[in-house]
Amino acid sequence: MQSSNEEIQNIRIVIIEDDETIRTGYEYMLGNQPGFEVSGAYDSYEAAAAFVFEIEPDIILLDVQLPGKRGVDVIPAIKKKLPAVHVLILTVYESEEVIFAALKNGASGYLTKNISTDKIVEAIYEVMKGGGAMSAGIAKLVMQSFRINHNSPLSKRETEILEAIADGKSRSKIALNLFIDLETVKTHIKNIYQKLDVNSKEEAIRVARESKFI
Amino acid sequence: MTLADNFNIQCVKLIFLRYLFLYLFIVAVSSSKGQKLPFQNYGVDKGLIQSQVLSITQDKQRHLWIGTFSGIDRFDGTTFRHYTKRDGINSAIPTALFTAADGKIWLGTFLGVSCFDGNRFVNYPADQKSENSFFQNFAQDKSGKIYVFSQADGLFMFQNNKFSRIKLPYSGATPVALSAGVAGQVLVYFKTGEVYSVENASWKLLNRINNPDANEWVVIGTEYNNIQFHVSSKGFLLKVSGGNILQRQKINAQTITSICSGKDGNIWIGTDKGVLLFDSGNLELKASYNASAGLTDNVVRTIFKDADDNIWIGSDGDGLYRYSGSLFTRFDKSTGLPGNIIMGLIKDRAGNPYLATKEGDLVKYDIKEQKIKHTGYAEVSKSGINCIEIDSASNIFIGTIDNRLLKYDGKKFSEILLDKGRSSGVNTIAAFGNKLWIATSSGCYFLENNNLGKVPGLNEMVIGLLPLNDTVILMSGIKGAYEYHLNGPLRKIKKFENTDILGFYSYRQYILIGTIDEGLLCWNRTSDKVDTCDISDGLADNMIFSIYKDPENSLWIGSGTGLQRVLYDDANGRFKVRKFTNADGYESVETSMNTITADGLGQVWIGTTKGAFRYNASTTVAATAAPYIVIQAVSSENAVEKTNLENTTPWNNLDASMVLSYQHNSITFGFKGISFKDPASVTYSYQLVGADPEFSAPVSQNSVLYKNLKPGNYTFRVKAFNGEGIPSANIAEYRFTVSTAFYQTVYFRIAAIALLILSGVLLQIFISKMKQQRFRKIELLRIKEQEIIREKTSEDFHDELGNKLTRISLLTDILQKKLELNEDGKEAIVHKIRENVTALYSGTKDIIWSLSPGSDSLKEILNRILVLGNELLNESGIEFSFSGIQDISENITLSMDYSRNLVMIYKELLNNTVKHAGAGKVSIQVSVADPGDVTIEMADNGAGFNPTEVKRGNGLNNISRRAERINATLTIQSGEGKGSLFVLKFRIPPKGVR
Repeated sequence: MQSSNEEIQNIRIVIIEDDETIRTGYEYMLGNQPGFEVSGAYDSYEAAAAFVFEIEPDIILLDVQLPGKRGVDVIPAIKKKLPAVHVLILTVYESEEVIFAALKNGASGYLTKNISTDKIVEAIYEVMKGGGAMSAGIAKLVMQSFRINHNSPLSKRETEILEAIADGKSRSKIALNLFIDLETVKTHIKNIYQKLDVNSKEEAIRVARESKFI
Repeated sequence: MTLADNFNIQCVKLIFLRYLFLYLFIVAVSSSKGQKLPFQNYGVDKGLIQSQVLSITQDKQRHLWIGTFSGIDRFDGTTFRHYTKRDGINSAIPTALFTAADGKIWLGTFLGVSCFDGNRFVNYPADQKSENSFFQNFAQDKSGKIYVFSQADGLFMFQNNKFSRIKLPYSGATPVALSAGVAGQVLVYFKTGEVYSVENASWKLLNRINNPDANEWVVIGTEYNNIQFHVSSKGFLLKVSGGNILQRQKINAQTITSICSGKDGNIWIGTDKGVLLFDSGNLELKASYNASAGLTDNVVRTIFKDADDNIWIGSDGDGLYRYSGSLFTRFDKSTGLPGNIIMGLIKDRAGNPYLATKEGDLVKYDIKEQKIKHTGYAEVSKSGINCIEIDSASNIFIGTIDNRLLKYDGKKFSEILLDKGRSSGVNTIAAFGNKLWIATSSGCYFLENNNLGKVPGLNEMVIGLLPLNDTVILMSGIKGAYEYHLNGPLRKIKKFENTDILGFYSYRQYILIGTIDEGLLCWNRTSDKVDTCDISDGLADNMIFSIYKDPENSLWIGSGTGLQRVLYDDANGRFKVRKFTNADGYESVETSMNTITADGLGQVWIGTTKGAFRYNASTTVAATAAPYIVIQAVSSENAVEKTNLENTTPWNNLDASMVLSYQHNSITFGFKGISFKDPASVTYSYQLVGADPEFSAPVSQNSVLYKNLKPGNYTFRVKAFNGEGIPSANIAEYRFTVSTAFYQTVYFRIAAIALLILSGVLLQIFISKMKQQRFRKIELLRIKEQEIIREKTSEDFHDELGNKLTRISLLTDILQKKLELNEDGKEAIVHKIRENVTALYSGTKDIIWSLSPGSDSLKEILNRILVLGNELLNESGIEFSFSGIQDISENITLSMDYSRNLVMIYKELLNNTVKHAGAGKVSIQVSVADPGDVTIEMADNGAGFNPTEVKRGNGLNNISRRAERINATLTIQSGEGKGSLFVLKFRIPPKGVR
């Protein structure tokens, strides 16, 4: 577990984005970032699939609006072959359902396309550490998801934080309000994500089981 | 002559007279013995409850009520219905019976009085009645009071539910008899001769019988033609009018029990041995009837005349007798004839009939003296007689059974030998002119002036004989019919070759032929036409033994089983037959051959195998009265045994209100025309009103079944006819109902229609609901579709837009990077481009949000503002809170422009606050008051501003405009150093609550 950003050496990124300008733009911006290496950039999953499993990147930036197979749907295949990779999905307008589906499928986080490169770098670092940003809308969906499952695996603090996020509060604000430090907040969110992952997996199993009974 | 001689002579005269009287008396008796009347007996064998009849009355339906020692019977002409103690009478011995004006039957018994009302017997006690005394008779006065009389205990009246002795007109009065006067009075006779009428226990002296004998008083009495006839205590028949005894006659009987006047003026008196008949005119004894006349030798306790003038005689041990008058008088062995089988019947010049019997003897009936006289035949022959004939010289010829032909000249008998050495049975003898024709079993002889001749060529049995004139004769035998001309040929009558002829008779221009099995033939010799009268015309049978034309030109036909009178309508060849039956006093019996003739008084005599009948044309016999019709029984499949008398009609105990169920819709009626003289010839005609269009043709069956009656109300009507076609005076009716099947009743129909309507309505409602549901579903689908399309469109739109903006951002980032090392001015512009793109990017995000489905909910809008606020103020260091969102209902919806404008308003406000207010704290509060007024208050603790002084920058202007767009009011409260308060109020438009 890394404690500071500087200790991470050479994060290897693969970009899957069909818009040429954006793809080449990210490639340039991230490529010029110290400590980052763009190992590959593809315009479709099919194009990436031939190489990505050999490359074994640390991060995959995945556009949700890909031609051919939907971005959300390829995540499980990627995670199967590369369980350690962090998949960050790229969305235009934070479509909550899409992001939530992606998170349930195993994505580690998401990014809106229009943000600055700095923010992208920050998000990548966070994701590498576990946890990550969560929007208010996402937080709401996460709460709903856990609520459907009667035995909510979230702790009280986690629920508190999740609710605060759902209200739109920033992580630093939350840390201020709860008299805890930012890192703790981030850890909590990471845990929430992990539980969500487990939870989503459990839900998938349950749905599969239920469908057998129908 | 000495006195002694005179006395002796007187004695001798007396003795002589006495014997003469005795002789005459005997003669008188024996002459009256000569008749047998048709008394119809009803004994226990016919159903009478017991053979000792005590009292008789007749009810309003013409039933006869008979009181005996074992109880009461009700008789309808054929059936006796018993009533006993079990039906409630207090004593089984009704010695007096009475029908009151209201129809109730009153019985006087040893224990008191009973009254039958048609349903039950109610017993009433009689005060001070001694145990062994019995009631004789009842009477009812005009006020309706009932009286009953007992010789031992006197007169009782019914009052206060019991019979009690009433106060007599004077003290010491002894009532001896009670009777009903013609004018409806109740008459009471007293020992001392007074006759009072009583009404409601008040007396009125009418008159006093002037009887010199103070020890003689009235015992029983009757009335005829307004004259009273009493039997006195000394055994005399008194004829009384206006208190005066007009005449008296000794009644020669040991005991006199009853008196009754018949329609024809005969006074019937019941004695200890049969009845005596007196003439009401001269009080002469007309007849004495007992067993020998067909009545009884026992005590006759009561005589009753019914509404049809039948005389009913109740005997002590022989049951009940009915005498209805008779058209015929019967003579047989019991009345003095030598035998019952009359073989020959002729009359002499003086009109006296001669009767010859098979049992032997020839007698003459003297019509003047009205008695039988012997001819002396019995001394000459013991043999029975086969046939007789009288010639113009009044010689009577007799064919005997021992094959002899005898001749009687009025004084002595002689024999005529027919064939030496051969004796032939003589079958028929016919006299014509000087000739006597004799039909024997070996041919036909003729005798003229003692010269005997024989018809040649005929040696077989000859039966029928008819001399047409002096020389021509018709004959019939076993082998056919012949016509013989004297000294001429014997011709077979071909026409009747195969007819078995018993006899011929000349009638007007026809020859009447009596056959064995073809009835009566009427042969017109000139036209050779034959008309037949047989059973189909009404004859009792087709075996014709005797034919006779009476002085009125009607034909008397005696056949094998009966007697009929026939009128021949030769124009049409039709016959009108009047058959004589029991009702006429004639017994259906075989008429002998050639034994009908009329005597000198015009009365027709008929010889039969059971005696001789004489037709008394002048007898006043009441025509058979019209019957009275009653319905006796009504039954149906579903009729339960009536144990409850409450719901039955009185007298006939019919179900008072019969309702048949529609499943058991058949009903049977039993009815009876009450007729006593000839119940067998009663016919019925009925109509079921509601099913039959009219009355049926008369039938003899007295029951009818109706099946499969439709629901409805019915009335059954029936009437009866007697043998002569006279209808009953009344028509009996019975009303009943067949209930409608439940599915036919009005209520059911209404209910069914209502149900149909209801189900129709319900169906309609259901259909419309389904339609609505479907419509709603479609609507929902449509809305959803719309939403999906909207979403898709917006997604597509903003994806396209977003990507393009991202491109610009990235390119400017790259540009910025490449420019970093160079001049500032360009960097600033690039930076501005980047800012604008970002702003545009986030702006479109808002638009996208406002197009999404959830954005029309007030709560969602407020949540969005919350999130926006947090995002805006997260890094500003300003504390931000938004309260009241939880209390907002999720169901409050606002249209799209609401959501957009509200979000923009607060975005602007919050932006301004961040930029200018310098506040440390911003709080928003929202509340909704009924009926839909929303209030949002945003307060900050910043520097404040003067609302009027601040230049209206685009910010506040925009906010005001947006507020106007949603019809909201925005009030600003702010002062320098006092912070600011923005209050936004608007009303939820009516559609806005789901």
